[in-house]
Amino acid sequence: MKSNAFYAPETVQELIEVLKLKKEGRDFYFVAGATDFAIHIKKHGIMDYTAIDLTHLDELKRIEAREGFVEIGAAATMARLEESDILRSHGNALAEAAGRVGSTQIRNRATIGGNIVNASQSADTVTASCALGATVVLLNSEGELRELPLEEFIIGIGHTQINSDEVLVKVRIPYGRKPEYSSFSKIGSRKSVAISKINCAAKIIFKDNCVAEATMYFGSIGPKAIKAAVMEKHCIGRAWDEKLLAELLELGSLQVDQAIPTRPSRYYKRIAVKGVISDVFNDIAQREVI
Amino acid sequence: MIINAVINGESIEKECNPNKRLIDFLRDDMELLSVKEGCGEGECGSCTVLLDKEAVTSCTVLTGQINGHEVTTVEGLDAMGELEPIMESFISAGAVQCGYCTPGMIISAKALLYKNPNPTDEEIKRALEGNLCRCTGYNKIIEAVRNIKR
Repeated sequence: MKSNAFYAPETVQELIEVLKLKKEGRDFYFVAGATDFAIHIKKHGIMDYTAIDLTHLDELKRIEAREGFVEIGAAATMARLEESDILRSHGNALAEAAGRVGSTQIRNRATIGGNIVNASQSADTVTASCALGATVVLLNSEGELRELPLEEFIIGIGHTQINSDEVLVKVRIPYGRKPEYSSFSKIGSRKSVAISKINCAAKIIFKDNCVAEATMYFGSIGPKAIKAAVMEKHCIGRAWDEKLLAELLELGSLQVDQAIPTRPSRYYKRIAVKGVISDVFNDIAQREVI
Repeated sequence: MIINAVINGESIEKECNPNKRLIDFLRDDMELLSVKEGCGEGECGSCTVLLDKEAVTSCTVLTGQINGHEVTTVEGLDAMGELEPIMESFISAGAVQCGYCTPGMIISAKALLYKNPNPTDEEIKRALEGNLCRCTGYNKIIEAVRNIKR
């Protein structure tokens, strides 16, 4: 395959044709925002490669309300996710997470698909999407689609279940039962333009002023986003009050101890986790309509 | 690959390596030297340009990706007569020290003003959060953006 080739499919059919080439070829890279890619080629001194540009595929940039779920094109940028009214009402945690990624310049280019497939343990939109029960849709070189839960799709740092002739095309966020509230928070080494040292997302469904369903995830305390099952269970049937928050803060520290029992950063993170839990808890408390 | 794009208001058709970084294309092929390289990782913002009126770091864009799109640098703002009021404001606020970050700051400010002609200080800070000034003159830069005559 010729080096330094550049493909910019504009339709899904053209994308399928390029996937066929990718299946046979070497050194193919999907490029959308290129915010991780540029760092990757610099770090590894990669000079020649074939780029498949996904930024000219309008179909992959849409955020649409479908029956039962919100469908987000993999090439939708962080800026579009942040300002999406559909997401603000049906997946607020993801809109919040997108708004906390990088800087204005990064958010104008970086995409949700790139953030997911790059599979960093710190990826903010992954933690948020997991808490919202997201699934991912992959397209292969035969034009077939397969859908699987995001949590299963990501295996670990930089590893996913994607095949060499597949591309991530959509992310789906199912509608929860109303009233549903979700939020996201993170802590990095500075206020903005920071990679998460720890992040947290939660989705809560209330019934009769008590928690009927709870989903909570943490990022950056393991090779992929971690489900806080003990904390989720602890919320069920409880009022969303100070007493519950105090208990969740302690459970959060235990979750860190369990997730990274030997890492030096655990001493910092078992305290930092309380900050992100408080942020998420208070944000949901403010939104709750009693 | 032949790139068709609008650079600083002018339609261009140019043969180039599409996998080249946009910053290298702008500096080497188009001789637009206001675009500065700092970190080369999208972190410092000194290579910021407008891509379809949105601020992006040109070190994280491939040249092939601008095909059919519009790119504007400080030279373009100058040619369109839009630089003068920004420059005056930066000078009167004393917002330029070594000047290396200034083109990126100006482009980020311009992108903000396209979207939001009357930004608050918080909105200015957010728009400039991806632009580092190692002379640390942030307060004066924010003041300069606040005072740009519109």
